[in-house]
Amino acid sequence: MLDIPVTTVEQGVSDAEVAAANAQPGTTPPKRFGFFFWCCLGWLALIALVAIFAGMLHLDPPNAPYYTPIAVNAPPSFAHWLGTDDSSRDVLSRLVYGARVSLVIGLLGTAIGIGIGGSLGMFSAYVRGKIDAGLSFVMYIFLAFPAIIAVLCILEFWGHTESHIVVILGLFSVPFIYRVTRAATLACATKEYVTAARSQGATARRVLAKDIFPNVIPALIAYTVFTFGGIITTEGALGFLGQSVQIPISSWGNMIGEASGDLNATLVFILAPASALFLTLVALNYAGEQIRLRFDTSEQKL
Amino acid sequence: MSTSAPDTAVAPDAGTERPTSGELLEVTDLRTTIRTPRGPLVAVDGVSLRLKRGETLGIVGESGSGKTVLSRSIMGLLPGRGTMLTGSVRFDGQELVGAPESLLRSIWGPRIAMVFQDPMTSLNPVHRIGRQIAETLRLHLKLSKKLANQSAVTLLAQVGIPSPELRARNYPVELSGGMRQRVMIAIALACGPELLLADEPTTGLDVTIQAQILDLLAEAQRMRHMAMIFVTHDLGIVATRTDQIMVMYAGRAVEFAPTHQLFANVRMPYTEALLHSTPRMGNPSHTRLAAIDGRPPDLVSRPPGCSFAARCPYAQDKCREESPMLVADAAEPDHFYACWYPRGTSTPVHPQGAPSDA
Amino acid sequence: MTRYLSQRFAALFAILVLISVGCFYLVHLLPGNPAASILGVTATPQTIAALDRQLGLDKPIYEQYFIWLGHILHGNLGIATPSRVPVTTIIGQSYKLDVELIVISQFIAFLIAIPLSVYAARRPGGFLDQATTSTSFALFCLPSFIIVLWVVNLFTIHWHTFPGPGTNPFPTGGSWLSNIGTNLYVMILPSLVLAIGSIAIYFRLLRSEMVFTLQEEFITVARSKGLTTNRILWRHAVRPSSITMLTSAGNNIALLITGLFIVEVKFALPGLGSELIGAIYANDYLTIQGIALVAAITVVVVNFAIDMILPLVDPRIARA
Ligand SMILES: Nc1ncnc2c1ncn2[C@@H]1O[C@H](COP(=O)(O)OP(=O)(O)O)[C@@H](O)[C@H]1O
Ligand code: SF4
Ligand SMILES: [Mg+2]
Repeated sequence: MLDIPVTTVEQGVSDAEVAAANAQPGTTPPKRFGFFFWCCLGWLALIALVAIFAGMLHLDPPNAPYYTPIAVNAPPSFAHWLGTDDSSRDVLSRLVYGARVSLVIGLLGTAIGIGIGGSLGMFSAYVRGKIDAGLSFVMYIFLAFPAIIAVLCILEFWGHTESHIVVILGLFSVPFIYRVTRAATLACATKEYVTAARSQGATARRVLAKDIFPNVIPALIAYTVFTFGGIITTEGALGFLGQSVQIPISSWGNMIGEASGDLNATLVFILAPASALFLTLVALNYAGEQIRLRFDTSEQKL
Repeated sequence: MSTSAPDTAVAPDAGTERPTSGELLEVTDLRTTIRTPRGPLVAVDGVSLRLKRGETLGIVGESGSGKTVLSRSIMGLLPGRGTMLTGSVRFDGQELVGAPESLLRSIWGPRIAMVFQDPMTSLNPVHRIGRQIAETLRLHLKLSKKLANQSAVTLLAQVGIPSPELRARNYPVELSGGMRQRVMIAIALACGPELLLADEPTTGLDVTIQAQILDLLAEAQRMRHMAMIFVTHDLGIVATRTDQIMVMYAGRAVEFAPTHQLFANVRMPYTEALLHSTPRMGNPSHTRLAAIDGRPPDLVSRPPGCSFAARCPYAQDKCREESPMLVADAAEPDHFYACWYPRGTSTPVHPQGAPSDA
Repeated sequence: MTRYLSQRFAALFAILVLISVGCFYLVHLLPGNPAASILGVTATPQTIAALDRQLGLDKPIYEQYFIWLGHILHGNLGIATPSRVPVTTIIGQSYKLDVELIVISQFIAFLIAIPLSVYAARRPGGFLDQATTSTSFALFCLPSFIIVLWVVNLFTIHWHTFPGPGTNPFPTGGSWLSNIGTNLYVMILPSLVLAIGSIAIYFRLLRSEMVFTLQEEFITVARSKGLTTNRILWRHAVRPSSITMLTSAGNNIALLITGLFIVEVKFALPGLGSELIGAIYANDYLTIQGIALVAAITVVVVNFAIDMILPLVDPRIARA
């Protein structure tokens, strides 16, 4: 037995009419974000606050060794909640300051990606025609190109600074955001009110700003969140390969990479940054998915 | 039309003795409740009907009146979760409501088949049409692949598809709407069903094609002694092609009569309204019957009284308070209607409380 | 159909040209001078200029491009600088290894993702659906570099089920059968790590498409023909639902390369990733260029192949 909702296919018009007739205003229960969604936001808020106010937490300096020979690879203790690493640095402190690096790279990279990819996507879908085809083709090539190769080369030759990582990861997220924004814009640009606005001679900028942008925002928010997660993951991978910010500066990725290469490291050193990263990615992806589902009418009926 | 090709390659019923007359289908108080976010929706509300072998019943009603849900409920073709079916459907003496899916599967295809409304969405887009026909033949009649394919070609020829050998290798995208509906009919007819449910089989097609499909169905029915339930929103279509007509409104049967009696003496105001809004033959069928003002009631929270009261020009206070029962006409015992103040000629006889104050 | 094919071929050609230009330029974008790095510390302006002339680096850039393209088309990727070995020799073995890793991992991914999504979609919201959906979501959020640590620790260090990092996947000396056996034994674990991310992606896509397809009218028609549920799921619903998954498999290859590099490093496998990192450290421009070129072409060709397969899977594709 296939357990799927009953569907009867009607002629388009009549179905909408029937649905409208049956949908008494106000009686449909509004779709709410569930408990887990708020947990995710809570976690994100927590790590954001911790990263912002890291300086006020009275932690040991994250990058300076603690110069006590006994503290090398020390297990968790009251003084060092997560222990110390092979250079006697406080792991909790490195985790907190690492959050700063990961989050800042994620945030700024996303800003670049959304800024460029989002506006190009909307523009492309709005003008259609040759420009659209050309842009889409270029983006398609970038999507096909294994970004990691270019990223590794460029970082090696430019230097592994935070700003380079931000710019490069941001730029390489452009094609992805371009594609989804373009699709979302196309979907709403064909709606009646937009066509009407265009036919009444509204300027392109006005139509984009007044009619299209507000309707693309929900999709854009969701994909902003996904991109954020994607960039943090990529930064983590680079860090793991030792190709992100350089030791002694910590990011979650390079902490995992460093600890996994050190046979004396205890499990906590891997587990702590790995869990932080995993929970953050769960929070981002879940929240993004909920936002997308909530605003995407085409999937709501599933 | 080239549909008169003899039934040679596909004569599944040739060997088996099959009665050509007698009671085939008996539906009693069928009720279908669909779970929706707003609560249970009673899409079919206590419908009863009978059908003899070889006869045709027309089910007519506006869009949303429950025709599709009714025809699928009769077949048992509803998802298990989310819908509840009560009442009884006896098909050739066998109860289908609550029957295990395996029994239903052995009936679907060889004994009851359905032609669906929208030919553009009802064929599998990734299978060749020949295969879609042959599939049932292989499953139910245990034909070999080769024989099933040959029979599929014969069936395509019977439903009037030119160069059927070539067409059998086409995908649905390569066919027009009318052609696809013929393929759909060929699929339904493949195993020689005793009952064919046709759910608005011509609604999406243009008028000339519509007439051809109707003729095709009529001819197939006559040659195979097949009973048919013909669902439509267009009274004009069923006027000449059915033995009985059931008019549905808001999930209920509101008028039920032999075809000639219904047209001679319409009793129910809703039927009357349907008749007035029926496009004349020859008008494009796409003109929707929007002529009846207002909307059908909310089936989740049905107002008390007659469902049609909000739109009925003859409605009185009683209509809004008490629901009229389906009762037999005094003069024509085969003619049933549900209305307190019926149109037409003869005096209504209501079991409880005749309209003395009318 | 012809239109679809010719469009795809034109696109393939254009992309290959652009990629070759990109890879050609990559080397020119990088700082430093190839001739200088070939000659090393002994370089003098005279010897550099001489070598430039010898390498054709004094010619106009477009001319250099066509000369380079001519070499590429003859399978000549140049000579790697520090080792003086042809780049094709260096890349050849690692490329074979990476292709094998990707092929096995994608095979595993489809083998697991397809049945799971088919049965999960059968009852949306049911137990199996919820369990698989949340598991795949968790796996989706687990970066490959965390998965790889787990897997290596559990299977090689803790349980010794599989050979640890550094085992040679291409043994010589045994019979060909035992060599293949050893090879698979070494490759299965890294492939599995690589597969996990893909499983999560393919599951999500196929499941949601399946749920959608199962609501289509033609599925009801299939039921009305009396077909069994399994037949409907596998014969009628999977194919029309699989287009998004297949397309994403193409896009996924580009993303998979990041995971591939991580797996190579962690399992100490001599693949393109290890070569690339080595070449970057050694300023070995031609090897970097060769790897970028080979990887990009592979991604493009895989995508093209998928584009060719799509109309066979769903005949609606070629007509859109
Ligand atoms: N899957 C469903 N979920 C909720 N309501 C449904 C569903 N299918 C049908 N209905 C409702 O059942 C009623 C009857 O629909 P239907 O049988 O399709 O009407 P008809 O075929 O006469 O146009 C309508 O009010 C419709 O909204
Ligand atoms: S019972 Fe009343 S409202 Fe209903 S159809 Fe008859 S006259 Fe109209
Ligand atoms: Mg209907």
